[in-house]
Amino acid sequence: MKFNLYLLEFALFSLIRKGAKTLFVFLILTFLIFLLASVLFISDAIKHELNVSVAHLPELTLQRLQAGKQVNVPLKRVEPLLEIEGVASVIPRVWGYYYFKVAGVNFSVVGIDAFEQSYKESLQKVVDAYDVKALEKESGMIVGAGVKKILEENYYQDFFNFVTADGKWKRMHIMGSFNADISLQANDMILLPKKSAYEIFGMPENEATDVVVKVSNPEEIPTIVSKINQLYPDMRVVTKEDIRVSYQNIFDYKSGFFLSLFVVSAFTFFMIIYDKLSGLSSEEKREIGILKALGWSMDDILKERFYESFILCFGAFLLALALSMAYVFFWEAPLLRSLFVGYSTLKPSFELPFYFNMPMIVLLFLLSVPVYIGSVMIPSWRAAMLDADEVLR
Amino acid sequence: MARSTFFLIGFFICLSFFVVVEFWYLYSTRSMTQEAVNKKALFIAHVGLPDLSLVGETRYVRHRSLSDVFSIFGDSPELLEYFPSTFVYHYAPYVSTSAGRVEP
Amino acid sequence: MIVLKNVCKCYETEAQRIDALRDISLHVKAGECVILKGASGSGKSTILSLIAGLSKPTTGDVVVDGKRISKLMEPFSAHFRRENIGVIFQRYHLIATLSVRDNIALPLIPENLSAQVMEKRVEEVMELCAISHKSSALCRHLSGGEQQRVAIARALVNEPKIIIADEPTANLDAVLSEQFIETMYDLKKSGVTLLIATHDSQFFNLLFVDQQIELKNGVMLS
Repeated sequence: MKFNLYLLEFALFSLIRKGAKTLFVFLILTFLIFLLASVLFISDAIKHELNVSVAHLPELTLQRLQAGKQVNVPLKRVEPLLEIEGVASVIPRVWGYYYFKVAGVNFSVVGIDAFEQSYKESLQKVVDAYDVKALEKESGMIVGAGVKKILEENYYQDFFNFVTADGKWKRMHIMGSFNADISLQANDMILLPKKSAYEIFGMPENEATDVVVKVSNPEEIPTIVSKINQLYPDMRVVTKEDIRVSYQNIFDYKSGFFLSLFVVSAFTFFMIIYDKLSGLSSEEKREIGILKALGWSMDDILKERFYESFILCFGAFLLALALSMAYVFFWEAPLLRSLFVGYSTLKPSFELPFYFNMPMIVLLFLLSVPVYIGSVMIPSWRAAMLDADEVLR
Repeated sequence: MARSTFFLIGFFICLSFFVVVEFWYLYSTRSMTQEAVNKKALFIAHVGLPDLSLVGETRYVRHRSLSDVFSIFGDSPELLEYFPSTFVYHYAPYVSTSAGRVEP
Repeated sequence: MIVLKNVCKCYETEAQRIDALRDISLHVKAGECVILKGASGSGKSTILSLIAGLSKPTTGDVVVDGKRISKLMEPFSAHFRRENIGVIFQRYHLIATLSVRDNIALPLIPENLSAQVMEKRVEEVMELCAISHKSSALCRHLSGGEQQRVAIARALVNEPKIIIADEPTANLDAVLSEQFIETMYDLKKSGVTLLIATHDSQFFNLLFVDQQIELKNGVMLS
């Protein structure tokens, strides 16, 4: 059947005819879809980023608890842990926070052994313009972009004086900064040789902050966890899965928080729409009657109504999609950003990776376009079903 | 065809074109590249710390899932702090009184 | 052409039952002009809407041009209406914000004709009803007489065999009513069947009227 362009034209005219109401509905629809799309874009991008990070974490992190608080792990525990079957490697770590009082920020300081050849090669790949060998001199460090910026603002161009636990100054040279690609992970990080980390934190060198364990077969994790618990009852085991679940919780909570706001506004909107259209105004009923009397079938009238609502809400949908992509990825989501970022002192720029989740867009489409079209079509259908003889009196 | 129909069709074509171009641009320039994924993997293999610097829930605690024994896995995420028990009337001497900073 | 056989129509609400028409039978031959007269509420408009297929009789049959319109399903009755019947409403019922041309074209929209054919038909009826000079004016800017002519043009544009007019002169002054009657006469000469519901006495003594039917409370008196 040939497409009836005149019907489309008539639909367009009647949209223009309703002027202010059309504009109002269009703007509200655009705004709602825009808001929802933006939130989905942000949370999907962050989730994607987190999934990439979590995938590469060590399987187990062991912390020693004493009186319910985390304390250092003696290094002599490493050997017995290695002897557990299924454990691929055990690495004692030294890491912690360093509070930089002048700027009021916390840095994450991580000590590493930079002497192994494999370390050097892989580190080189994530650092801009820097020779990793300098770390061997024990006075070099690699900093994240945010750290570098703050240090520069405080006139530390190429070195920084840590205040150690003894109150002495420990001068470390800034040997390079992490690649911008990993700024979401590394923004507040300082990587320095283990020896210097011990000195800055004032830790005895026969202890470590915690221990990470790599397991070659993920299916053995529960067995290994129970063996560790038997071996060292005072150690808490945090698995990769625990961390993943806690992220999921935080995001569910944050999206839920937003969603509850959204649901309220969306319901208000649809109630207004429904209320307005379920009792079609007598004007609109009369128009349907006239068109029927002039020989329009119910089919034609419903088609016309469909075009009308489709133009309105599909236009709003496309516009909202375009706006939300620009808002999140070009303008870095002002206002909404703070809902997701929390209160970190050193905030990275909000340059999220673009991650397009097709089912999400389809869901968004289904939530908005058909619902609106339905809320227009159903009352019109009811009005068109009635006898149109009222116009003849 | 009426002028406004031309306008409507033009509007939809322009808008769809814009969405496609924007999508294509973002997809080709802002997607996470395999190279970036590899870098992240390398970095995390080195430090082994979980959180993104986006998700610092408090001003003081980073990598909270590994720092805070009691609150993160035990309680629901919205219980950030318990007001009376964590409220310190005087700042500790090493804590600056500034409220921290927020980067754009 | 038009046959009504023992037609009853009642409207039922929860509280009461209103008999709008009671046992109406009438027969109109092709090319006739029929006047339905009676006070308002006597059932004139109901007869018109039954003939136009806009409502269905409670009992009885309505046959128009050999088709039992009272039994036609919705899409077919709309199609039938589009091909055979032109309607002139009491208050014209033009769409105020559309131009004269667009209003007249309304009945042709579902036909999906080519632009040229549509243009030609609209031009013809505008010429016939002497409204061509206002073709792009919005209907809300027209005078009463002009609106009347647009309404007639709209009823004629699908070249119907039957014209139904509901109180066509109720809002017109004497001169305009005279003009309307002349138009109706021209139509009758061209072979169109006319059904006019009115209580305007100007229609009662016309020579070209073939039947006059008087209604009172839904019952035919003559």
